[in-house]
Amino acid sequence: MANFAIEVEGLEKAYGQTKVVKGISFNVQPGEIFGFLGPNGAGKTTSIRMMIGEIPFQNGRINILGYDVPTQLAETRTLVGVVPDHQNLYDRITIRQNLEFFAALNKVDSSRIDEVLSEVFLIEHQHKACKDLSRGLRQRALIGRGLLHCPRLFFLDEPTSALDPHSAQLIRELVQKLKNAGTTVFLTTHYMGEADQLCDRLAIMNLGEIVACDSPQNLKKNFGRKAVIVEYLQNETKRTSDFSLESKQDLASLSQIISSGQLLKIHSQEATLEEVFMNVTGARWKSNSEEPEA
Amino acid sequence: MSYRTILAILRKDLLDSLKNYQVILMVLTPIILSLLFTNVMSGSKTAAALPEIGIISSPQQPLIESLIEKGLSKKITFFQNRQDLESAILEGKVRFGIILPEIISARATKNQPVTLLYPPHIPDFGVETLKSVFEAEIRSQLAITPPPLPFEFRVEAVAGSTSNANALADSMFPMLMVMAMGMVGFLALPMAIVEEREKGTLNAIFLTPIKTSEFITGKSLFSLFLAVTTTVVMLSINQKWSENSGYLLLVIFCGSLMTIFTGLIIANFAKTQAAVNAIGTTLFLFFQMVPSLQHSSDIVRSVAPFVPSTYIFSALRKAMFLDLSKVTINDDILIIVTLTAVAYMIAHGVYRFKKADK
Repeated sequence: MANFAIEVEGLEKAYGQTKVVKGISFNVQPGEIFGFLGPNGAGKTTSIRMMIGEIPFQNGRINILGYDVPTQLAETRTLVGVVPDHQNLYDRITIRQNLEFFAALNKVDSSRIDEVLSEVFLIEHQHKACKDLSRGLRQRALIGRGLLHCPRLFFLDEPTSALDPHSAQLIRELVQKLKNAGTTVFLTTHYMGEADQLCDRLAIMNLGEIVACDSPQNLKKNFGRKAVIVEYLQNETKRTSDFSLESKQDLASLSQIISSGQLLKIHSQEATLEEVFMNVTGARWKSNSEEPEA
Repeated sequence: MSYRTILAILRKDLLDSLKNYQVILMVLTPIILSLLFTNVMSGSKTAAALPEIGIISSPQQPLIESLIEKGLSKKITFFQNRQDLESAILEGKVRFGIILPEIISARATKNQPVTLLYPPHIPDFGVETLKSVFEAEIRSQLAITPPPLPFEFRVEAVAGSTSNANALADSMFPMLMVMAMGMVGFLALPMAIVEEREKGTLNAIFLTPIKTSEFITGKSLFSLFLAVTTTVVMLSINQKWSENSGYLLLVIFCGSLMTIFTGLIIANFAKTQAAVNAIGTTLFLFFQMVPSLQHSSDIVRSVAPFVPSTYIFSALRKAMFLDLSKVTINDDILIIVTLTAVAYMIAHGVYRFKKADK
């Protein structure tokens, strides 16, 4: 059991008659960054809340770092850090006072506060009231709060949402540093480029189910659009087009260009994670657009 | 239980509330009102309601028969001796006492005196009004014309620890103290907790290894600090400390804790600040109004024993204004301590069963 940082098996959650998480199973290796993607209302945040013991679940099993949730929740509290999708800091007091408060609650030595402030680059802002900070600084303060007790597993729920590019990049660097230090990171995001850049493996969730789970490379290979970009002559004019290798019509056109000697250049077009995401979630999502938010 | 955790909650709440105008307003309001009542209303005069009267006399005394015929039997309680009558007045069971001789004769030259006894916190005009009512009754009964009366009419205050120089303001002071405790316990504390729940900071607290008892103690300590500070400031700036200050502080301490534990229970069930306003304000009004208006009607009087603040109010009044060698405060304190312990147990059970962040 303890071989995995997270092991989830047959997890189900329903609100009344509506099932929002439908028996999902996956595991996360220690030290990896695991991405959890999906459209709004797919059940990502509900799944995280069940994993950290915030809400109960009806069926299934969750094991966090060798401890069963919810029966061994007290043990997981000291091992898990959480950055929620909303910025829940005490606004009227300073960053440092926020961290002092949570250091005491986590039974962490006060000297750790300076280390954390330095890790999240907030030393110069530590005495500012949180309500006076930008969204990016507040997000760093939240990450700092989650890191106070040096968690082995860190949940980040959309950490770069609504941040400017500089702040978002800084957060990504912090996440990469955590991985390098051996911390397991469970990340949800709507930014496909971010997931592609950071995650070792990804699970894509849609309508309460995991519809794909693999490394970004394998997902792109298996679910991405297969196409080539072709440079060719048409009526002595140079043209560039992309041809899908999955379309009979495109393949016929490409074959004709090659056989007529009009081909100048050809190279493969790499699939994007966004295409993968749209492929595995798009059609089903559109047909179920009435589904409630999870 | 970790004292560091508890103190951290206390410190954070203190820092946070110093910048929260709602909390500051709730603390300042009773203090300002106490000054208002003490300095503005001390000289005001309003008509007193006809109160309950304790009487030492024979029921066959013609004057008493006359009062009973007028339908005032419910207002009259008979006592055998002066000590019992004085205790009843000080306990608040009757508002005034009358000692009547067996016979009052219009022609007799040496009638025994008629004595009107009143508690020390009753204002002069209330005593004068009652005295006039009785004089008129006696004159009507004996069919005698205005002065002089054929007997001595004595008016005596039952011994208290203060004079009645500022009696109306004094009678309101325990009400204001109860108000200060209720504001913190029933409104400020649950509103602060619900605000934390709405902002999601409670979720963050309960993701740490904090224990239920640490959370309750930490939250209670801050509110206790607020309630005790408010009431102590009120007592100090209005110079209301008495020789029974130890009892006074004990009642403030236990009474505040009772409201605080009740506030914790409110916060666990009320999901929004509007819900806290609705539940907290209703309880607060009952808590404050019932003991202070318990002599206004039979209905309120019958409800009062079931409202915990009645005992807080009574104990505060006794500790502030009465001679404790003549009245017992221990019964009130025992009830307050018991109710406080019950409130704590309910709060603890509620928070163990259902954490406040849910």
